[in-house]
Amino acid sequence: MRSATGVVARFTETKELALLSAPLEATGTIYFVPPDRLVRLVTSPGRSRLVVDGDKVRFEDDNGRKALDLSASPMARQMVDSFVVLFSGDEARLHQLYEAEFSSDGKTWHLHLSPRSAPLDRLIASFDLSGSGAHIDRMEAVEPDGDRTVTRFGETDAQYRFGAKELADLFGEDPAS
Amino acid sequence: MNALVARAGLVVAALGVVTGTAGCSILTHVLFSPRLRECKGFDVPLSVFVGPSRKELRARIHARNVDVDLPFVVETNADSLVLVGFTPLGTKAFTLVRKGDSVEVESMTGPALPVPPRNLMADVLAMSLPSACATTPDGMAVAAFDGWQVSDTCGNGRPVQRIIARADAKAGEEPEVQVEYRDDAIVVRQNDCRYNARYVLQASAPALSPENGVSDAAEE
Repeated sequence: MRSATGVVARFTETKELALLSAPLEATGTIYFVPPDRLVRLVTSPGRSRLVVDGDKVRFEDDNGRKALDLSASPMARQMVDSFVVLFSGDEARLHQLYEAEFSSDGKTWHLHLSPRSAPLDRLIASFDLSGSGAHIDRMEAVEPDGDRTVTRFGETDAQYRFGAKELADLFGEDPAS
Repeated sequence: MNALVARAGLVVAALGVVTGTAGCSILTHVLFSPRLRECKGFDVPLSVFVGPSRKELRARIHARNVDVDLPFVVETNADSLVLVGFTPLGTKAFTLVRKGDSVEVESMTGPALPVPPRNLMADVLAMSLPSACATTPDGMAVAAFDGWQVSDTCGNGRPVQRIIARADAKAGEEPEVQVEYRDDAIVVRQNDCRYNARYVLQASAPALSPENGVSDAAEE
């Protein structure tokens, strides 16, 4: 694996579900390597890792690993394609998928996204992103039933240089796990 | 739209889509195509529990043609039980709400959930039934709950193994549920459904206050 430039950010996620007496919280780190590789490492509670590597998605935790080959599912393929469009910053395609409202006071910015059509609109009501400059500080995802997930980002490095070994550690499969 | 901000925003939007909300249901639907049948048998009233409890667990369910990872949270008290299951990728997969004997299940990933939420509820009830091992540090602690006989093998004041059988079971009859409390996980076998489920406790709150040596076995 060659070195590459991407994004590293710590996150704290709070899920507020109407059925639960208190929010669920998770913390960890997100690693994104353009154009289509992503690791979401949760370090609390427990330890788990979601790895998206092109067509392949796998999830690892204390119970082992589950893998999904997206080539087996046109629907899943379509969904991941839409992710890649977002990652690549294809604004035209973004506007095909979402109604987007952007505002900025010069220092901070806010982006509101609403899915235009199914299946996204059955799963998500809106995203609200806010930040300053190239940094995202907060994202709120609201589901159609009103449940919401708020993710706060910190220590974001949008120009992080991944070394070859680090990439191998992040995306390589451990045969022992 | 400022291109830099747009790009940053897009990245995070994508992260949100992948990790917390949309799309994952679709992926999981593919992951979850085989289906385990709903177990009949073991159940107890919520009133047997000693106090409110909340657990965040990760389950790995093994059965013929089924191999599923399922994170979920369960809240119980004497009147109700709420269980919310998530896809391995973090989005809500289903909810189960029990009030008394009434159970309502809602699926967000389509009608064919890979593991019936009622099975998870039964597993949680089985592993969480109060244990009297604190007063029987090394030996057998046998208790009766609403028509079920619960036999705990204790070690150092904690349950190591649990066998749940009908109170009127004949000699030699296979028990309904077996629970093994390992250091790193709790393994539940529902014999009616022929599956093994491995549960890793990620977080629990509030800690129950053991009363008279009786406490939630899954939190020990």
